[in-house]
Amino acid sequence: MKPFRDQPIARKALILGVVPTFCAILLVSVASVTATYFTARSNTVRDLDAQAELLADSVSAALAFDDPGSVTETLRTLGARPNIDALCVFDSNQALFASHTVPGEPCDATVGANAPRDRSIVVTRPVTANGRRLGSVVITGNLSLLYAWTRIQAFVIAGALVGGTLIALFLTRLLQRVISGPVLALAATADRVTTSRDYSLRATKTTDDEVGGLVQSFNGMLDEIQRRDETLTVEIAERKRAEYLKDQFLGTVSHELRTPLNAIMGWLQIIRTTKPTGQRLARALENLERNARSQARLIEDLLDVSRMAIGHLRVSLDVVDLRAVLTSAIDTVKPTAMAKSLRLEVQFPASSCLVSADPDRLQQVAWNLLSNAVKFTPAGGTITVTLSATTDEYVFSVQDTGIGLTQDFLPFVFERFRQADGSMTRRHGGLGLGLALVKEITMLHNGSAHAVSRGKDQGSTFSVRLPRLAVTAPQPGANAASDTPRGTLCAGMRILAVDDDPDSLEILMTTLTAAGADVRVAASGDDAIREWTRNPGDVLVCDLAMPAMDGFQVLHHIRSLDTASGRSTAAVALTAYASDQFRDRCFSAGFHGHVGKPCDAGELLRAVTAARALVKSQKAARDASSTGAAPL
Amino acid sequence: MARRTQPRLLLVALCFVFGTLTAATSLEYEVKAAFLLNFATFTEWPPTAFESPSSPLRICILGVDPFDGSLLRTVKGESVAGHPLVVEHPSEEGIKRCHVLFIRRAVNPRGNDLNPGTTDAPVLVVSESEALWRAGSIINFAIDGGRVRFDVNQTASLRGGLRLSPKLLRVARTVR
Repeated sequence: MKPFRDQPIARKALILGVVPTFCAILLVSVASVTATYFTARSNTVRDLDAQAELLADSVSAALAFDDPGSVTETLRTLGARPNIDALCVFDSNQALFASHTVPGEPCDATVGANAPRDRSIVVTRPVTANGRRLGSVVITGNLSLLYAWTRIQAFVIAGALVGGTLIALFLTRLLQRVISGPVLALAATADRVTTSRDYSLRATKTTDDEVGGLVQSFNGMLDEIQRRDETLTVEIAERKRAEYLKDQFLGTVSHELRTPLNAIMGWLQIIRTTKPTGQRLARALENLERNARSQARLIEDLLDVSRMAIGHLRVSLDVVDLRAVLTSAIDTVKPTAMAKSLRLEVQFPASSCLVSADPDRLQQVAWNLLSNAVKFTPAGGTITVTLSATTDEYVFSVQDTGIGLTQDFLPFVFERFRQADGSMTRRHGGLGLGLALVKEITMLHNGSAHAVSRGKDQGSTFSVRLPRLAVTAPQPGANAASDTPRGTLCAGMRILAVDDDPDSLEILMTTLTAAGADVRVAASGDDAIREWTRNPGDVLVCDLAMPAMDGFQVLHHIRSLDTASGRSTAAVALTAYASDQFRDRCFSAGFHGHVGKPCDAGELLRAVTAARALVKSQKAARDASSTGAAPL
Repeated sequence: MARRTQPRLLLVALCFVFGTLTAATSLEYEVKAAFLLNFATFTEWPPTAFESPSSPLRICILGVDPFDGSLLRTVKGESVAGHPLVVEHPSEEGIKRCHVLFIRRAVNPRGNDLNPGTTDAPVLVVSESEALWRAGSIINFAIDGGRVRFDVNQTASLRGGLRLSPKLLRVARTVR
């Protein structure tokens, strides 16, 4: 037998219904029998008292005149009653005068009045007449009738108890379904859900009580589980798709990386075997350079995308002339476009268009859009580049007459790893990262990128919107690089170039001297400090990774020398580490610019001039604030 | 009441058969003395019959006293309804003040007629002769089967305003 706590709910309800009913009926029955018994008993006693009174009265004369014969009839009449065992009349000397008894019942004058005996009651009354005591009567009554009656009542009540309990059992069995039914239904549903793992099942709410609430909560939980289940399924599908795209992308990457590498290897072999000279050599070198650049661009894009993915793509904002950046980009793609006999139409405003932007990144955006247009426009097509201004934005768009975009693909055109299809990848090289970078970079500049196409082979238009910079003051900076002939970029600048690698140092010296700078070199940190102490300059171009004293330490020393002499030096770092964190570290250490190795001449010169311009403007701002004018 | 006031009637019968006349007579009157007391017990007098609620109830003996002191012994210390019992031998005039008047068998005043003074007075006249019974006494003693019994004349009792208890009537041999 399980304890009550572990019984099924239906049985609990049954027990709860029957047991109290049984107890209540039992209690009432016992109380009723007891009360009836005592009432009947006291009635019997009263009755016997009355009998004794009557007897005492009717035998007084017989006692007085010594005539027992005259009471015989009275005694027999009274004694015939079933509840009377003995009637005894005693005279004033306690001698038996007359009696009527059932067999075996003696007359005893010595018993006390109303003395309680087991099954009988004794009642004694004196016999008096006119104040004279003549004798006494003693009546012994029996309670057997009372007992018999009580027994009958007990039987009837026992019957009622059994009947009542059975009725309670029946009714409870009917009613308990109201309580246990919904609970059992809920339990059954929960069981079914657990075994079948079908979370679309629901319990039916039949009542408005706590069980109803439970059903509601249970269904709510099922809703939640089902929703999560579905979300999870969708997410898994999406993740699989993303995985597939990534695999496809990796295939593309390895293919794309191998293509320029094959060209480079091929040309190197040609040079080594045919030892070309003159025109052929120049062509070979040009091819080598183009392919190397192409590969560098691919790697750069890959790195950018990985930065983008983890949110590390940063821009260092500067005041940039958008027109100049676009012009420079167009110059870059012009040879390829001409080779494909594409017509390039440029519609630019007359004045410069200043935006707050990272010039390198902006160049990247323009170059990506233009090279895409060139790539996807068949020979003889037209590419139109326009730059226009609204009240608060510059809109730069590249329109081509190329293969266009299907409406299906249009929404995904800026997504990573997306290319219109596999066959296209075959026909047109590229990683499918360019447009994703365009969008990301534009957004980092608080701008937006858009693509419009009327459909396949209908050409497409990509446009980028960037917020206008409110100031129109002439701005020295990166744009100078494209405006000014390279030979005069660094005219008059005194530059100290520091690098422990002699080859790099020579390239630095050649490039900077060619740009018109007064260049001195140092092959170590110590040399650099010594040189600077003897003859300080305007710009420090310093490799970061050097033995004994690294670039940061060199800059630190030079800054302390500057503080002593009240100068401000522009500093550009050279490093092979291309990470953004490293770049940040450079800026926080006090470098104004950062150029990756192996360094491109243009990039180096842009960085140097930008750094110099920045220092100059800071100095101007300091001067302005010291004279009370508001800084720019 | 340690003394026996109600002797066994069997003894009386035996006395009649085997004992002397004197002894029998004395036993008979002992019983009758007790009866006289009991007659008083089962009789209700009108309130006018007593001077006060505690004035004595007089049992009078007319003629020679046959009780030999037994009546005195019987009533000594007894009282009925608050009236102490006394025994008197009344004169002719005092008869009317009696409550119970026992007329001796030998007495026969004015032939078969009762004293007219008692006829309408509340006096319980007890006789022991057929002649007096016929003359109108209320209770008359008789010896029946060796036992002392009595007859009651209810009509006569009503004349004097006496009320005899029905219990007394039930014990009586005959009621007229």
